[in-house]
Amino acid sequence: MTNRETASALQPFNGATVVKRHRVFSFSRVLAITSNTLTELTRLKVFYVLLVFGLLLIGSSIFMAQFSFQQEFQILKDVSLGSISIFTSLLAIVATARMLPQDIEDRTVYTILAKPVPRFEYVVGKIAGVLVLLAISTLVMVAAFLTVLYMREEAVLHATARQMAGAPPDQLADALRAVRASAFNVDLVPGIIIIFLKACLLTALTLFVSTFATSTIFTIVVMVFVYFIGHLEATAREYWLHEHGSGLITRVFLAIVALLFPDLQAFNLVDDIVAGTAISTAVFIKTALLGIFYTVIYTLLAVFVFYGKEL
Amino acid sequence: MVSPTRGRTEIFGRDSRLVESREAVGFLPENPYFYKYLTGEETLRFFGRLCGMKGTTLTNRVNELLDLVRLNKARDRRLGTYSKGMLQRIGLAQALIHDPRLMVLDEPTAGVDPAGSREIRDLIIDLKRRGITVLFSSHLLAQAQEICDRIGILADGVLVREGHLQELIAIENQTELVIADASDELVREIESLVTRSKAKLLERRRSTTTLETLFLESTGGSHKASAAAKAAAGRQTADEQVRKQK
Repeated sequence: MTNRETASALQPFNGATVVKRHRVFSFSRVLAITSNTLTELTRLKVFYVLLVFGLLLIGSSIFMAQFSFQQEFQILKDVSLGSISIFTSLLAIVATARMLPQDIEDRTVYTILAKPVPRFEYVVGKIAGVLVLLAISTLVMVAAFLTVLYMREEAVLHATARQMAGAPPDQLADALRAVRASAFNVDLVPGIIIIFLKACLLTALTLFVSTFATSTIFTIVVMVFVYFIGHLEATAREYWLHEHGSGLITRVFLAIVALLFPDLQAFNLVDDIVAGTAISTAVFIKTALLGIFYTVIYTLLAVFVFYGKEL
Repeated sequence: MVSPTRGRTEIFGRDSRLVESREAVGFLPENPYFYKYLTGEETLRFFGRLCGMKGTTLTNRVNELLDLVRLNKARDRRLGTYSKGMLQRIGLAQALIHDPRLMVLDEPTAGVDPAGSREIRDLIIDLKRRGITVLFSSHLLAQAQEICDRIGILADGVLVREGHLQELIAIENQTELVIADASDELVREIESLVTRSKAKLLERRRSTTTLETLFLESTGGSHKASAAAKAAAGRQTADEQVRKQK
């Protein structure tokens, strides 16, 4: 079939789609960009490498079990949750840093914004894609971690039961209860949610930096600095307050620093949880709200800068 | 995309800075880069969804456009494997996805081989036939002459000439005759008629085809080569005379 024959089969222009009313916000448009971003990230080989890295790290903790079962579970939880935290943070920064600059460099952004897509929907769709990716990878890693923990718990329970075969039932039940208590702790759940929120915060901040950064490398370097400063900040602040008192200027200065460099150490609840300290609901809610607040603020700042950007 | 320093632009009565004004526009940038990891079909679906299309309407439109730009066989291939011409064609298809009234095409055939270039040209002429306004920017003047009804010439950012192509390029005091199978005797007779009158014969030469047509005929790249050869022959004479006039 020739071009012309095919073309004649096409309906003449009727403007049917043009008269349709434009919606200021369309969830389906955001969803289209989100799912496209997710497709892009999952089709990037680096994602699988990082995921394998994370899973390997969790798996390797099994072989560190040369200690008592309490220590073994402790190390398993420490290593696994630590690697989940680092991996999600790394993924958040690396996946987000190249997102907007790449689209601008490749000029794909022109074809997207030439469609009736508002700029904030584009930015929100993009960040949502990374957040979904982070949620999926966190869930995968947590599932792997819990599977390993459960398998080790079962193994230790069997070993304990075998060793104490002749012991009185009360004593055996106590021993088994002690094993179960030191394995899975329900307090881990809020700790993991906070790890995820920390990654969300880093995603939004990376996105914000990438809206005015000159290159992807620059964004990544800035974010690595932010990451380290964010973890050391609490200590520095305590020292500063101790030395200079808490006058108005000091507090304003610290508030600006806190906005530029979010206190990431505050999101490390898992350290305390793994160490056996119970986390109050109030602390959990406060930290979660802080994470959501930062994520929203940085996303809005990114949208604001992107709106004024000449493309 | 760019804020104006002064003045305003309207697209069919809507301020061009408003997002909804883009509902009426299909845009193909110069050397378009789409997401390489998407297949041709996925690309069209993505852009369709951005325009609020879904379900069977979207599926039918995607199929229709893949047929139109002759990429049906390559619909499941990733764009990373597409040739330049194929990318331009998928670019045209994405620009058309929401049935726009205005198409803005920036150098749509830049860097495309002659056969691909001709296919794109034919597609643009089809759009014109369907009643779609095409704003076409190009440095390939011969192609602009083939496609456009109205032209504007920009120099250093200033519109120096604008109007209907035929009016702008016509040479008022000259006439062309293109004659097939003319004997030498007939040609001599015509020449003597011209000499006897007050008119002046500026040039007499054998008609030639264009290099593009020769290429397409030699490579079997065109199904309309013979028709194009005839059309091109006339054009060539006109080109020569314009040059002579200058």
